[in-house]
Amino acid sequence: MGACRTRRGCALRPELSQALFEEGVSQLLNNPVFLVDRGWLLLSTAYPLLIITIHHRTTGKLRTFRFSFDDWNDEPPELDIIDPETKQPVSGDLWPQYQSYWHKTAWASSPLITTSKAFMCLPGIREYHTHFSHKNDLWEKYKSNPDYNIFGIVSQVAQVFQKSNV
Amino acid sequence: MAGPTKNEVDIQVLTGAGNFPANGFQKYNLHQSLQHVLDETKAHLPVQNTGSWVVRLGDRELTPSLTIEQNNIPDNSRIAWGPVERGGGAL
Repeated sequence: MGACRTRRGCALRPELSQALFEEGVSQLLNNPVFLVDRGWLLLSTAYPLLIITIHHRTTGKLRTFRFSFDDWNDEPPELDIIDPETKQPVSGDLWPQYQSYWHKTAWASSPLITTSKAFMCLPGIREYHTHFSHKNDLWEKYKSNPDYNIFGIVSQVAQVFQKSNV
Repeated sequence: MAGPTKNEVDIQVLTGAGNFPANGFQKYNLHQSLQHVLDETKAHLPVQNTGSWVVRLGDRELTPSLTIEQNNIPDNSRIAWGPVERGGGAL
Protein backbone atom coordinates (compact mmCIF):
# COMPACT_ATOMS: atom_id res chain seq x y z
CA MET A 1 0.00 0.00 0.00
CA GLY A 2 1.40 3.42 -0.90
CA ALA A 3 2.37 6.04 1.62
CA CYS A 4 0.03 8.92 2.37
CA ARG A 5 2.02 11.95 1.38
CA THR A 6 -0.31 14.92 0.89
CA ARG A 7 -1.64 17.37 3.40
CA ARG A 8 -5.10 15.88 3.08
CA GLY A 9 -4.24 12.23 3.03
CA CYS A 10 -3.22 9.64 0.50
CA ALA A 11 -1.76 10.88 -2.77
CA LEU A 12 -2.80 9.70 -6.19
CA ARG A 13 -0.77 6.74 -7.30
CA PRO A 14 2.37 8.18 -8.91
CA GLU A 15 1.67 6.49 -12.23
CA LEU A 16 -1.79 8.03 -12.35
CA SER A 17 -0.39 11.44 -11.46
CA GLN A 18 2.19 11.05 -14.21
CA ALA A 19 -0.46 10.02 -16.73
CA LEU A 20 -2.55 13.10 -15.92
CA PHE A 21 0.56 15.26 -16.19
CA GLU A 22 1.52 13.86 -19.56
CA GLU A 23 -2.01 14.24 -20.87
CA GLY A 24 -2.02 17.89 -19.81
CA VAL A 25 1.45 18.62 -21.15
CA SER A 26 0.50 17.10 -24.49
CA GLN A 27 -1.80 20.08 -25.06
CA LEU A 28 1.33 22.23 -25.08
CA LEU A 29 3.54 19.85 -27.02
CA ASN A 30 0.94 19.39 -29.71
CA ASN A 31 0.48 23.09 -30.34
CA PRO A 32 3.78 24.67 -31.45
CA VAL A 33 1.91 27.51 -33.18
CA PHE A 34 0.49 28.56 -29.84
CA LEU A 35 3.88 28.29 -28.11
CA VAL A 36 5.55 30.52 -30.71
CA ASP A 37 2.73 33.06 -30.67
CA ARG A 38 2.84 33.33 -26.89
CA GLY A 39 6.64 33.36 -26.63
CA TRP A 40 6.83 30.14 -24.61
CA LEU A 41 9.79 27.77 -24.86
CA LEU A 42 9.44 24.37 -23.22
CA LEU A 43 12.75 23.34 -21.64
CA SER A 44 11.56 20.19 -19.89
CA THR A 45 8.37 18.18 -19.77
CA ALA A 46 9.70 15.21 -17.81
CA TYR A 47 7.32 14.37 -14.98
CA PRO A 48 6.92 15.95 -12.51
CA LEU A 49 8.61 19.09 -13.81
CA LEU A 50 7.38 21.46 -16.46
CA ILE A 51 10.10 24.03 -17.13
CA ILE A 52 9.15 26.82 -19.48
CA THR A 53 10.86 30.05 -20.47
CA ILE A 54 8.55 32.93 -21.31
CA HIS A 55 9.43 36.02 -23.32
CA HIS A 56 8.17 39.26 -21.80
CA ARG A 57 6.76 41.16 -24.76
CA THR A 58 7.25 44.68 -23.40
CA THR A 59 10.75 44.45 -21.97
CA GLY A 60 12.13 41.57 -24.02
CA LYS A 61 13.33 39.87 -20.85
CA LEU A 62 13.09 36.14 -20.26
CA ARG A 63 12.13 34.29 -17.13
CA THR A 64 12.16 30.54 -16.63
CA PHE A 65 9.34 29.05 -14.62
CA ARG A 66 9.59 25.64 -13.01
CA PHE A 67 6.26 24.04 -12.19
CA SER A 68 6.51 20.96 -9.95
CA PHE A 69 3.53 18.73 -10.59
CA ASP A 70 4.24 16.04 -8.04
CA ASP A 71 0.92 14.67 -6.78
CA TRP A 72 -0.95 16.27 -9.70
CA ASN A 73 -3.84 16.77 -9.58
CA ASP A 74 -4.46 16.06 -5.93
CA GLU A 75 -2.22 19.07 -5.41
CA PRO A 76 -1.67 22.13 -7.59
CA PRO A 77 1.87 22.75 -8.86
CA GLU A 78 4.58 24.43 -6.85
CA LEU A 79 6.20 27.32 -8.75
CA ASP A 80 9.76 28.63 -8.78
CA ILE A 81 11.60 31.00 -11.08
CA ILE A 82 14.94 29.46 -11.91
CA ASP A 83 18.14 30.05 -13.81
CA PRO A 84 17.67 27.99 -16.99
CA GLU A 85 21.29 26.80 -16.98
CA THR A 86 21.91 25.98 -13.32
CA LYS A 87 18.25 25.12 -12.59
CA GLN A 88 18.69 26.92 -9.27
CA PRO A 89 16.07 29.41 -8.02
CA VAL A 90 16.92 32.99 -8.91
CA SER A 91 17.10 35.69 -6.26
CA GLY A 92 13.91 37.47 -5.36
CA ASP A 93 15.16 40.62 -7.09
CA LEU A 94 14.69 38.87 -10.42
CA TRP A 95 11.08 38.03 -9.69
CA PRO A 96 8.54 40.19 -11.52
CA GLN A 97 6.32 42.62 -9.69
CA TYR A 98 2.65 43.20 -10.43
CA GLN A 99 -0.01 44.05 -7.88
CA SER A 100 0.17 41.48 -5.09
CA TYR A 101 0.69 38.40 -7.24
CA TRP A 102 4.46 38.13 -6.86
CA HIS A 103 6.35 38.09 -3.57
CA LYS A 104 10.08 38.28 -3.90
CA THR A 105 10.75 37.39 -0.29
CA ALA A 106 9.40 34.82 2.08
CA TRP A 107 6.26 35.84 3.92
CA ALA A 108 7.10 36.63 7.52
CA SER A 109 4.19 38.67 8.77
CA SER A 110 2.72 35.85 10.81
CA PRO A 111 4.18 32.76 12.40
CA LEU A 112 1.17 30.87 11.05
CA ILE A 113 2.20 31.43 7.44
CA THR A 114 4.43 28.70 6.16
CA THR A 115 5.59 30.19 2.85
CA SER A 116 9.36 30.28 3.29
CA LYS A 117 10.57 31.45 -0.12
CA ALA A 118 9.73 33.84 -2.94
CA PHE A 119 6.34 32.84 -4.27
CA MET A 120 3.46 33.64 -6.57
CA CYS A 121 0.05 34.17 -5.04
CA LEU A 122 -2.46 32.94 -7.60
CA PRO A 123 -5.17 30.30 -7.36
CA GLY A 124 -3.84 27.14 -8.97
CA ILE A 125 -0.37 27.62 -7.50
CA ARG A 126 0.48 25.52 -4.45
CA GLU A 127 1.96 28.42 -2.52
CA TYR A 128 -1.34 30.26 -2.78
CA HIS A 129 -3.37 27.39 -1.38
CA THR A 130 -0.92 26.71 1.46
CA HIS A 131 -0.79 30.39 2.43
CA PHE A 132 -2.57 31.14 5.68
CA SER A 133 -4.56 33.97 4.07
CA HIS A 134 -6.11 31.53 1.63
CA LYS A 135 -6.49 28.45 3.77
CA ASN A 136 -10.22 28.37 3.06
CA ASP A 137 -9.82 28.75 -0.70
CA LEU A 138 -9.18 25.08 -1.26
CA TRP A 139 -7.65 23.61 -4.40
CA GLU A 140 -10.56 21.17 -4.36
CA LYS A 141 -12.76 24.03 -5.60
CA TYR A 142 -10.61 24.47 -8.69
CA LYS A 143 -9.17 21.12 -9.70
CA SER A 144 -12.11 20.03 -11.86
CA ASN A 145 -12.38 23.39 -13.63
CA PRO A 146 -10.79 23.19 -17.09
CA ASP A 147 -9.38 26.69 -16.55
CA TYR A 148 -7.13 25.04 -13.96
CA ASN A 149 -5.74 22.24 -16.04
CA ILE A 150 -2.02 22.42 -16.80
CA PHE A 151 -2.53 24.63 -19.84
CA GLY A 152 -4.87 26.94 -17.95
CA ILE A 153 -2.57 27.38 -14.98
CA VAL A 154 0.47 28.11 -17.15
CA SER A 155 -1.60 30.53 -19.24
CA GLN A 156 -2.69 32.46 -16.16
CA VAL A 157 0.85 32.67 -14.80
CA ALA A 158 2.07 33.85 -18.21
CA GLN A 159 -0.62 36.53 -18.40
CA VAL A 160 0.29 37.93 -15.00
CA PHE A 161 3.95 37.82 -16.01
CA GLN A 162 3.20 39.81 -19.16
CA LYS A 163 1.50 42.48 -17.04
CA SER A 164 4.47 42.70 -14.69
CA ASN A 165 7.33 45.18 -14.67
CA VAL A 166 10.06 42.58 -14.98
CA MET B 1 -7.24 33.89 -59.69
CA ALA B 2 -9.28 35.70 -57.11
CA GLY B 3 -7.40 37.00 -54.08
CA PRO B 4 -8.78 38.23 -50.78
CA THR B 5 -10.98 41.29 -51.03
CA LYS B 6 -10.28 44.34 -48.92
CA ASN B 7 -13.22 43.46 -46.70
CA GLU B 8 -11.73 40.14 -45.63
CA VAL B 9 -9.07 39.20 -43.15
CA ASP B 10 -7.47 35.85 -42.39
CA ILE B 11 -7.58 34.85 -38.72
CA GLN B 12 -6.55 31.78 -36.73
CA VAL B 13 -7.74 31.34 -33.15
CA LEU B 14 -5.32 29.63 -30.75
CA THR B 15 -6.57 27.83 -27.63
CA GLY B 16 -5.40 25.22 -25.19
CA ALA B 17 -7.68 22.71 -26.86
CA GLY B 18 -6.23 23.29 -30.31
CA ASN B 19 -6.51 25.93 -32.98
CA PHE B 20 -9.22 26.96 -35.41
CA PRO B 21 -8.65 26.35 -38.17
CA ALA B 22 -6.17 23.64 -37.29
CA ASN B 23 -3.79 24.90 -39.95
CA GLY B 24 -3.64 28.17 -41.76
CA PHE B 25 -6.31 30.82 -41.50
CA GLN B 26 -10.05 31.29 -41.86
CA LYS B 27 -11.43 34.19 -43.84
CA TYR B 28 -13.78 36.63 -42.10
CA ASN B 29 -15.51 39.79 -43.17
CA LEU B 30 -14.19 42.87 -41.39
CA HIS B 31 -17.71 43.80 -40.37
CA GLN B 32 -18.42 40.54 -38.55
CA SER B 33 -18.20 40.64 -34.80
CA LEU B 34 -15.26 39.02 -33.09
CA GLN B 35 -17.84 37.04 -31.14
CA HIS B 36 -18.80 35.34 -34.40
CA VAL B 37 -15.20 34.20 -34.80
CA LEU B 38 -15.15 32.87 -31.24
CA ASP B 39 -18.52 31.15 -31.65
CA GLU B 40 -17.25 29.38 -34.75
CA THR B 41 -14.11 28.36 -32.86
CA LYS B 42 -16.23 27.03 -30.01
CA ALA B 43 -18.22 24.94 -32.47
CA HIS B 44 -15.07 23.27 -33.76
CA LEU B 45 -12.97 22.76 -30.62
CA PRO B 46 -13.66 21.03 -27.28
CA VAL B 47 -13.42 24.21 -25.26
CA GLN B 48 -15.39 24.69 -22.05
CA ASN B 49 -16.21 27.54 -19.65
CA THR B 50 -15.42 30.12 -22.30
CA GLY B 51 -17.78 32.72 -20.86
CA SER B 52 -15.04 34.28 -18.77
CA TRP B 53 -12.18 33.82 -21.26
CA VAL B 54 -10.19 36.65 -22.67
CA VAL B 55 -9.04 37.00 -26.29
CA ARG B 56 -5.77 38.73 -27.13
CA LEU B 57 -3.81 39.80 -30.15
CA GLY B 58 -0.29 39.85 -28.79
CA ASP B 59 -0.92 41.39 -25.40
CA ARG B 60 -3.74 43.62 -26.58
CA GLU B 61 -7.05 42.51 -25.17
CA LEU B 62 -9.80 42.42 -27.77
CA THR B 63 -13.53 43.05 -27.36
CA PRO B 64 -15.74 40.24 -28.67
CA SER B 65 -18.80 42.44 -29.05
CA LEU B 66 -16.98 44.72 -31.50
CA THR B 67 -16.35 43.91 -35.13
CA ILE B 68 -13.06 42.64 -36.46
CA GLU B 69 -12.45 46.07 -37.96
CA GLN B 70 -13.26 47.88 -34.73
CA ASN B 71 -10.86 45.55 -32.92
CA ASN B 72 -8.21 46.59 -35.46
CA ILE B 73 -7.29 43.01 -36.26
CA PRO B 74 -4.96 42.97 -39.27
CA ASP B 75 -4.86 40.35 -41.99
CA ASN B 76 -3.07 37.08 -41.15
CA SER B 77 -3.60 37.42 -37.41
CA ARG B 78 -3.33 34.74 -34.79
CA ILE B 79 -5.38 35.54 -31.71
CA ALA B 80 -5.12 33.67 -28.42
CA TRP B 81 -8.26 32.81 -26.48
CA GLY B 82 -8.09 31.36 -22.98
CA PRO B 83 -8.86 31.63 -19.30
CA VAL B 84 -8.34 34.93 -17.57
CA GLU B 85 -6.16 35.08 -14.50
CA ARG B 86 -8.06 35.24 -11.23
CA GLY B 87 -7.13 37.81 -8.68
CA GLY B 88 -4.51 36.61 -6.27
CA GLY B 89 -2.40 38.23 -3.68
CA ALA B 90 -1.55 37.58 -0.09
CA LEU B 91 -3.22 39.88 2.38
